Amino acid sequence: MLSYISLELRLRRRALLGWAFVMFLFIAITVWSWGAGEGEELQKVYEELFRQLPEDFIKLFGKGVPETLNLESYYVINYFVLVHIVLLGAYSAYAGAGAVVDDVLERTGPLYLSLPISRRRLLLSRFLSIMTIVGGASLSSLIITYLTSLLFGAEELLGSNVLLLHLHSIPYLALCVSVGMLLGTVLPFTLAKPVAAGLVVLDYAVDTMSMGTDLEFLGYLTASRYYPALEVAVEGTVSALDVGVLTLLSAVALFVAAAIYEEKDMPI
Amino acid sequence: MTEVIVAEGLTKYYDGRVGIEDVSFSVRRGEAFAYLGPNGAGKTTTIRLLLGFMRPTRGRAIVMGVDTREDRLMTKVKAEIGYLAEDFTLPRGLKGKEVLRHFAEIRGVRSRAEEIFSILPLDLEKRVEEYSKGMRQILAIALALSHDPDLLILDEPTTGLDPLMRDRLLGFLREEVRRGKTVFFSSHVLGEVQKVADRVCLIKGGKVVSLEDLPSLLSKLGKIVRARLSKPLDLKKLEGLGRAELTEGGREVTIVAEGKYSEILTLLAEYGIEDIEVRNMTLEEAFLHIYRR
Repeated sequence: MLSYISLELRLRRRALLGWAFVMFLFIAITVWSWGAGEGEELQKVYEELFRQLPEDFIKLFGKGVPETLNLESYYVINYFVLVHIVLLGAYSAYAGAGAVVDDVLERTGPLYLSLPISRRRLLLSRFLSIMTIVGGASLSSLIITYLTSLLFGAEELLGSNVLLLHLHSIPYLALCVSVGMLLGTVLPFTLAKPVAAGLVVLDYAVDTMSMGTDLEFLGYLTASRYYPALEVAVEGTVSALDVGVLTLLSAVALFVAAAIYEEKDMPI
Repeated sequence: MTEVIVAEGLTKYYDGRVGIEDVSFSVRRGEAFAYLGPNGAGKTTTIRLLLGFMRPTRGRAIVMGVDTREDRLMTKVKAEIGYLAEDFTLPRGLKGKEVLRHFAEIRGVRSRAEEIFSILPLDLEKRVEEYSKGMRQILAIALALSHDPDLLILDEPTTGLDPLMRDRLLGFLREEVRRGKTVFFSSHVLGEVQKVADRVCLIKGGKVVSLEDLPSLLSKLGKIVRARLSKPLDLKKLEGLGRAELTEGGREVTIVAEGKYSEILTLLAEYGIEDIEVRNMTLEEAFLHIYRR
């Protein structure tokens, strides 16, 4: 299993570096613009923007957005939601589905499925290797955040809230991976990866759009509802229930995916 | 256990389309078993079922005493199987030696890779994406065989290899059989099959059409008669005796004898034989003969 994880890390190191660079750009712009906007000035612009933006837009991109801004909430709205929750979540689901379907689509299966390793164990190895990679991406995001905060004098981001925010992303990303794996086992091979990635975007949209509407119940069916990033970043609290729901759902999805994968025809 | 592979009424349908149907055969320990057929005949489907990659629609396959539908038992059995796919992708971004080390670590067994590379040389310092098709094939062969498996399942093993490497691989496989290993392989290069196989199974449209020892198959294949005649041959006179092709305006004839070839010779004598060659049919010619029928 360790051998598998180390290989995956080697194979995806360029992707990881690419991620780190994208995150660095977003974080640096976010933290620098806060400092350059001198906080108060930026708050005014934000509040004006907030008033002018269509309600649906605010719902979609600013779940629980406060009407006044501080650096933590600015960090979440400007960087974390798009890059970490939506993009990294979509990548996690895409990679999760790929862990099943790439054996057929990319022809990697002949080498791996002929090994004396059960499919259940192979899937678990792949889950752990993807989690190592997305965990690495999350860790590098945290480190870059701390470094840029030091660089631009944004001490507010050096506290434990940002650490909690990143730690809480692990069960959320794990759920993205395991749901991707589940979709890989049940959908046609060619559809699984794009559908898995698209589902993460849809999940976030449904969560935010349903907030405060008659369809609020739909929001509770989404994964991102159990990862209230803004709340965590601003208040510095994490709900054990949220973490528990994400972890449990992830374990169930992984278990079901493994059971289906064991019986699945792999035309390799 | 003398039978390493047993297929019993093995059937696989893909969305109602026949992959293979009622395929039955057995492969004995220590033999080289060739599984032949044109593209789409069902060779790869059979191999997928033998390795448990897919579940049969009907029938079953027993490999080294284990029903291939038993995932857990098959996992153990795979430690003794070396599988080479016709189409595969190696992990990108790694050197050949790193790929080898990675799979050896996963298997956790001693590697015969050095011995294999002494026969099929390969630059292991290159990255796999720099490899030619033939080099990738050699690395895949090493991955399939380096754990010294008892059963080798090889789908078109010589694909991409140059004639020298092809010959060396066939020699290596023959040597493996001599050491008591069992080789199940598909190929469409029939000259190779003749060099390696003990028995030959021909599959057509998903069904077995012939299963014989190679010498017995060759002896039944009949003769090829090639002759140059003084005057053009009337093809109608050959009806019931064999299939013929005429060239040079009917003065050169190649006949696949189906009846007694002595009758063919008598007939040809009537047209004045200038030159004649009578020989056993090669497996390649037999293959074409069977599949054109």
